[in-house]
Amino acid sequence: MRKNVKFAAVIAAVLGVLVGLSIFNHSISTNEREISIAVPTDPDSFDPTYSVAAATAEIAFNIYEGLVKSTPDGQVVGALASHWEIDSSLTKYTFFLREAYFHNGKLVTPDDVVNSINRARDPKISQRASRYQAIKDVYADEDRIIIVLKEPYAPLLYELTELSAVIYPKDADGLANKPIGTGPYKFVEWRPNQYIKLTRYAEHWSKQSPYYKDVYFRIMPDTNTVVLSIKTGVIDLIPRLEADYLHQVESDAKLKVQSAPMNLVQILAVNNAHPVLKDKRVRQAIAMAIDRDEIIYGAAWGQGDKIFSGLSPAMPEFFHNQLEEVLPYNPDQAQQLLSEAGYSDLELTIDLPSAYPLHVQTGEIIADQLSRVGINVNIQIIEWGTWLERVYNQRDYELTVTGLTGKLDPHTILSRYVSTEPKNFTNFNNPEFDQLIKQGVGVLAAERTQIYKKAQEILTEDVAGVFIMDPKQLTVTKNDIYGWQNYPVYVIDVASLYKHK
Amino acid sequence: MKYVIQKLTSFVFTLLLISIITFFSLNILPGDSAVLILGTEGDPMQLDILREQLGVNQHPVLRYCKWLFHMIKGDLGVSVRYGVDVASLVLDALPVTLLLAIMAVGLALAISVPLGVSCAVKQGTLLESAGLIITELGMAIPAFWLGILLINLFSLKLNWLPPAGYTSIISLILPACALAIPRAAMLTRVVRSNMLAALQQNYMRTARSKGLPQKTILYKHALKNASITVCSVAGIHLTQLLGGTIVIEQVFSLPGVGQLLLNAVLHRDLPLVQGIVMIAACLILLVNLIFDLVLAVLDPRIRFE
Repeated sequence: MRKNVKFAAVIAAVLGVLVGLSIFNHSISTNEREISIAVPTDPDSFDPTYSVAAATAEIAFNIYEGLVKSTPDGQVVGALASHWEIDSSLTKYTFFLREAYFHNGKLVTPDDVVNSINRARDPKISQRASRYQAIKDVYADEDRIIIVLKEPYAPLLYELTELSAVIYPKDADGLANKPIGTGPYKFVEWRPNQYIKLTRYAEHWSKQSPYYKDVYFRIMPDTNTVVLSIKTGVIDLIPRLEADYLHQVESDAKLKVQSAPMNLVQILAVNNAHPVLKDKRVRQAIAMAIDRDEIIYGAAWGQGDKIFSGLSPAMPEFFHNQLEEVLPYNPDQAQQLLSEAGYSDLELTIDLPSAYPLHVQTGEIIADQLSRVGINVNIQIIEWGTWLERVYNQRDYELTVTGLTGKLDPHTILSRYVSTEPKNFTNFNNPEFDQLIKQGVGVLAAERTQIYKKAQEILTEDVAGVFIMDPKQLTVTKNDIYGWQNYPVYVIDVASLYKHK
Repeated sequence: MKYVIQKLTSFVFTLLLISIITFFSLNILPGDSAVLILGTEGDPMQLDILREQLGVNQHPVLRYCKWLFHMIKGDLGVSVRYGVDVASLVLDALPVTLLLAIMAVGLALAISVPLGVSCAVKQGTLLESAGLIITELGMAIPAFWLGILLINLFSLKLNWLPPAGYTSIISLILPACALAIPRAAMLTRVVRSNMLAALQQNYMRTARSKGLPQKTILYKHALKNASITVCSVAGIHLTQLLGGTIVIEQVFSLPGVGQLLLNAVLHRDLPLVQGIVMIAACLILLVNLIFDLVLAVLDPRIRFE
């Protein structure tokens, strides 16, 4: 009898605690003006000269601004510069500075701008200095900032939208974990492995007040947990969901999914300098053995757009949409090309970065597809650091699959395949292509577009690699959250979000 | 006194050895922090400058000596990945891991001791079979999967507990359960077999013949003897958990030591890896010492040796 009483007491206590918890949990009903966004990793550093991670750029977009910024449709508009002029030689850009204040209350002076841009182009200071090597001089003239170029460089405006060219106070110190910018949100706190907190900046030059007052970017590395968290309402937005998890959120009536091209070029990179792969016929055979539909269906649940060259359809102005028939899927012809080249049972190794399940799955399907035309592929799954060192930097590989993040300007994306370019990890070497890329920076508008379309044709025909897909960016939000803007670059534009019942 | 000095010297040498092993094994891995920072946008010029800035182009032995020199002065350095003091990062993460480890082991003991004792006492009954099946299941379930199931039930269906993240001790209830259940299953087995062994000892018969109540016999005599092994096993589990519970921290997005260590290794953040390993090693050696003492209290034979 006594035992039973004790037992009942224990049960009652446990129940009491649980009920208490549930009440507690409901009492922290989320603040209307607060939003939690799930991000997979911590930023690397909020110091614009040091940061190179996309994970930082997408958060920092809300904190910092450059002279110009990008719009969701990939155009460049004024930010700290209200407008600008380009002289007829295309080498002198004049920016007109707006009246704006930093988050620390100080006025943005031309001096701050000159200092920020000079630091951005100094290779001893900035990790991204190579982007700004076209700049010869930067100086201020009253409220105008003048950038003089060594020679015409069309991508300049796009490069100035990057995090590496944002404006911060000249005397700022310790930006790495205390960023000071002019953006619509100011930095509050960064707890590694937990969250980054931002709060609305009332003094923004646009005089517009974003809907959300407090923003939490919550670091959640596990996608399963992220999905469960948005279902329970702990987080409000998943900027980029892997397609494998789509079915879990699609069925939930409280959530909605938006999809758009990610501007990521997934490529089966082929080492053009490899003794066997040097033979264009072998590369073309590989290209014709790849069935992109099967990959998109098998590795990305159908969530991707086929691509045939180095640009994604997310860049409508420059995207070449008639390349599908250059080297179409045709296993018979692939086999024929291989025997012409004198290879009957070719054996190749494909290195796949374990950090990216999409690329690993793609590589596995590719290995199968290549085996159907008589190329035996060994799959080697390696860790990201190893991949970067051996495959990317030392170019010691035969085949690999990776994703190259898109930029706003085609030059920045396509110059990777120029034979002398340090980033050219495919060892692609085509003098005509090199020439085109050189020409592309010196002209504007339609002429420029034509050059990049021709360059894309060469990439496809000469097989720098097999371009596979641009995976869809799947953004999940609660039903009552509106205003999500999809950019062709890594950006989470919090200021445009709002709630509507 | 001599014993203490002996312990301390071996403590220092163990730490030194651990630091050398972690340092050089991390150096063997391809890629350094500069390569990982720059990613697929890096070029050789930038890489050289960054290597220079980070000091990763120096000879490993020189770097190790420098690190050791600073460590002796109490300076663990600055993390390459986060740009802040290693010590502050680890100290931020440590309470989460400590609390989680203690909760998990405590919970495991709270479940396994009564269950194990009942299984041993009710040998051959339905209760024992049921207990054995449950423990079998408990041991077979991987903690991370159990974690996801728990989130599903307690967060998604019932909305009682937060699914992920860390705000207070409440956030640790689910992960502690996920860690505790498989361990409780294992410990139940240990308690049961040790109780069975103890119950067959001669002193048990003596105790019964003295007419002691069953409860005293079980808990005062049998369990105390059985608990020596149980304590050592629990101690091993605790030290395991202190090194960080990478998978569970990942599933529950907990800012613990495991998560920090994983990121540090993935980014070849040498100062951070070294710092975490050093502090974790200190803790584990400390826990071992505590458990040695607990065992000495439980078993007079250890005291007299």
